[in-house]
Amino acid sequence: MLIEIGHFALVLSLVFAILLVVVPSIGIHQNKAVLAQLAKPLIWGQFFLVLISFAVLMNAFLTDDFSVKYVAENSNTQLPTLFKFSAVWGAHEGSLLLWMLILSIWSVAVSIFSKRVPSEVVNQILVVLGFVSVGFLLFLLFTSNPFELLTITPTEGRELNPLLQDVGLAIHPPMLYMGYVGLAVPFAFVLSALIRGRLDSTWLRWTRPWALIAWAFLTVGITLGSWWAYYELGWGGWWFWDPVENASFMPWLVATALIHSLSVSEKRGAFRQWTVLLAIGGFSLSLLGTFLVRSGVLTSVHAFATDPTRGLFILIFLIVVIGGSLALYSWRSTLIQKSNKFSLVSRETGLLVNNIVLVSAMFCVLLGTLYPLILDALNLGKISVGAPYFDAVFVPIMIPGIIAMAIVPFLRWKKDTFSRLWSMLRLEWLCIALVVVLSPFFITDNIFVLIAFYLFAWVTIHSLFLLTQRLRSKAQVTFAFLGMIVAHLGIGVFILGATVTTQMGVERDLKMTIGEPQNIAGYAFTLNGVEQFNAQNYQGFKGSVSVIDGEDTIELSPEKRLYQTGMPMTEAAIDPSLARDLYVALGESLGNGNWSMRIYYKPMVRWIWLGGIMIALGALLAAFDRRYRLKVKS
Amino acid sequence: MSFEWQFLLLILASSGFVAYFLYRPLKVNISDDASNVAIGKQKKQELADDVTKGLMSMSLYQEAEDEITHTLANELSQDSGDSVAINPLQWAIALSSIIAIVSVLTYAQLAPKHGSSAVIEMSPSLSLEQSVASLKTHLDNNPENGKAWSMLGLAEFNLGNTDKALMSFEKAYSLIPNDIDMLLQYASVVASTQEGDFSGAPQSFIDRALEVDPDSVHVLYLLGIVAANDGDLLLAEKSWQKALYLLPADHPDRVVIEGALNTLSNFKSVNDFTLTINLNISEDVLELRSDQDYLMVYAKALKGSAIPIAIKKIQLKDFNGVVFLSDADSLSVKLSESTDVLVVVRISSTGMAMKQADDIEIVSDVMSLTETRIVDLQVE
Repeated sequence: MLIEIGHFALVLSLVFAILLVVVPSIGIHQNKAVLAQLAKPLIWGQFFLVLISFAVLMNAFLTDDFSVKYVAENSNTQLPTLFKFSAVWGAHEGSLLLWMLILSIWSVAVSIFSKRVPSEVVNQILVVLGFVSVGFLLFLLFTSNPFELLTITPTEGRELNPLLQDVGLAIHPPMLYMGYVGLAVPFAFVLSALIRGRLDSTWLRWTRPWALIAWAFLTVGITLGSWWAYYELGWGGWWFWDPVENASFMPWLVATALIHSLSVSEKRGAFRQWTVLLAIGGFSLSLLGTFLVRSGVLTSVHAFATDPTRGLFILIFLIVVIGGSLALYSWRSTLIQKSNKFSLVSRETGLLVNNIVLVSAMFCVLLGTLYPLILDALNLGKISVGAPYFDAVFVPIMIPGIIAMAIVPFLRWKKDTFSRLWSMLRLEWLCIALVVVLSPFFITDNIFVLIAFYLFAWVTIHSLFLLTQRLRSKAQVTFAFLGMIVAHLGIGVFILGATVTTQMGVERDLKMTIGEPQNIAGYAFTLNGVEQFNAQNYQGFKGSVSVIDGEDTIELSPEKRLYQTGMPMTEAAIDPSLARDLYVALGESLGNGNWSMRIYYKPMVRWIWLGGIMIALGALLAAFDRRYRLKVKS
Repeated sequence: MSFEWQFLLLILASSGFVAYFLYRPLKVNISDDASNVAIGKQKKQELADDVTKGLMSMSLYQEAEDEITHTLANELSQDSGDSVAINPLQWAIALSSIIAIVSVLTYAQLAPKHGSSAVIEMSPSLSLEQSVASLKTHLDNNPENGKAWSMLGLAEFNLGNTDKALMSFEKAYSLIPNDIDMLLQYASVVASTQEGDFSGAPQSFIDRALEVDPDSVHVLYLLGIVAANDGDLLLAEKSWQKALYLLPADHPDRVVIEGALNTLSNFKSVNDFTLTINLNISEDVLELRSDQDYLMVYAKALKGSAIPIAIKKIQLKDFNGVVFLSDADSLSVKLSESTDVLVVVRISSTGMAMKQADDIEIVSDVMSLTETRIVDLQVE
């Protein structure tokens, strides 16, 4: 019976979302404040109803209610409790419900934490978020109902995809969705301003903290996904330029451009039109990612045609949202105040360069992601665009952006000169020149690692100098400034970690004989034995590997698991440290006590995720800056 | 409390919640102008800070401040006048009605898509009896639902009500004659009434299912089972091999079909008719013969034709101590169909069928193949 309640609550939440679009709009249009002010209660009600639905579905998983088709297909009695929780969003229907819950959470957060934003603005923003909710609730209820019941209850359910039976994957999707869906908030701010015809300082000022928080979540989500892929897939890779990864990376690039563009728009009144387009673009790319992942086109464009309902729905919704937003933009663009003047050498120009680089990089990823799909759709064959394309195109585009990133914070608003910059930074540049000259002799002769090290040094020296300069001055060090420093340092840390681990990592696929050591990157790896074991919902083999690291001995236990579906899974054993990871994955038995094994030495791989965490932390610091606690008298 | 009452409770709670805020609306906090003025002031303060931090030259400070003032002037507008009052009661009734009507209609629209959920008050552990009762209720209202008839048939069968199951399947067959799942279930149920014999109606249902979809893995799997039971191992193997070929590499059902094929393979190997001849040729004999000489081992009938029943001819260099004779080596009648035989071992330099002068030949005692299929022979 609970299932019906959950389903009905979801239907009711759709009614609330429709009322949220209609009733406050009438109130705003006819100047009836009581109706306009109904936006907040309606969003609270919608959130509460979606929460009921979500709790009911979760309860169905925890109580093994296999009368629910979705539960029967994605869980069984042997599944550990933690993964019964995460199984709720382990497949399409549940992940859409999670998406909806997160959208409701963001909407409620906007209604609660926007006390400094005029009520009329908040109400209009909630109407836009309500419209997005209507689209997703219709999609959920009519094409992806998680409460569909089976006529005869099976006694046992199927297996949750073993790949998803992992803590990393339990938290990665919610974080990523927080970022994806969070981009709906800047989108709603912009659309609200366009609808009201008031593209003023208010929307610019209050959009930025929301954009920063969404961007922080998106960063954490992508970082967690990369970390999970590294240890769970057994390949030791951290980024594969996979279309699903690209689907999250494209909104991230645009959101990065947006938070920088917003800083110019809100402070100096420049790039307003561009900011509007970026806010629309960020959320549109989130929807495009949803379309790519959920429609089945990534498997094959023709898979979309075999079950077109879901894909077609998202495609229509995508067209409505993007088309409607751009139509509204073209109608209202005349109301957007013209950009204030700035000279060629100025902070505004620097941030413009940053935006051009980021958007160009996004288009490069978009092209690489969509090109195979277009060829497939035109029956021109199946091709795969992978790392060689992205490394060749993406990296060169980003390098000028990284160089600019370190210098732009030193530039003055409106107008500056190179001579002032030279006089201020010549000592730092001299230090960097010394680093450039000496590093090939002391570090490595690998050109890619050297370039990464130069970029790291460039960013770090400039960021630390900027921090020192600010601390010495009488000016206050704000959270926004600290956030920028931390995030920029995070970019430097990421670049160094990603390049060093890719260029200097050692990867070996070996036949290991019990008792015979293998020397890899200066470490002696010895397979001591492999034993069979049984766990709650899988069987497996656990290897015992000793690694001699100087005088220390490290014990690693890689596993090979066989789940009920027959799907083998590799659980790599990793000895982590900031300097390097030792990574051992157990392969197949080769008979006579021999096993195939993958052994990786990954220098500085942790810096990749450390960089990601620093970027997210920087964004959060900036979002909680004092300037966003502005008191406005009624 | 049935779920309809809980729906009503949810609708009432939702309506009451909305109505409450119509009577006690949230207060409007600030106006656009107040917000823009406050932000304008803050921007001027930040501009001054930027000058302190060296992020704005003094010469441009005034120009930038003017821009802020100009922007603020553009943004300021006469805020709209007093809000228009509404009649909360009218709106409360209207919104409550919308909530009730739209939610119930939408739910009713979605309910048929749940399979038979509309007729089953599902609980986590629904018994078969409850399932049958729910299906019957559903079929009272939807007598044309062939799938539901098929499910009822299966449920009745599981409860041991074979006659009722057959009636339900008959009804299902009249409604959805091309439904593969139904056809296979119907075939299985009818076969169970024939002590597992699939001949007749069950076979025709399977044939029909095969016509509908020759590539249905389920049909091929059942076809294999039926063929195996009939002793047609070749068809069974063929069907399962095809099913295996059609299944994706990572499909969990592959394990089941591979298991069936393994069973078949074991069965075949166990049942292969093999006569094992353990032969010991003394060193003396071997020294006298060339390793190019032929070793001819055959079984012949005790009476009747002199033509061997089965024969194997190898060169001495390839001899490893054991020779197997099976139906594959038969020349006339099958070895497996013979009863009493003699096993003959001949070492010949020519390999000809007729015994030559320098051939060495030994003959075993009479063997009853129904009792033993192993013989030990010595050539000295």
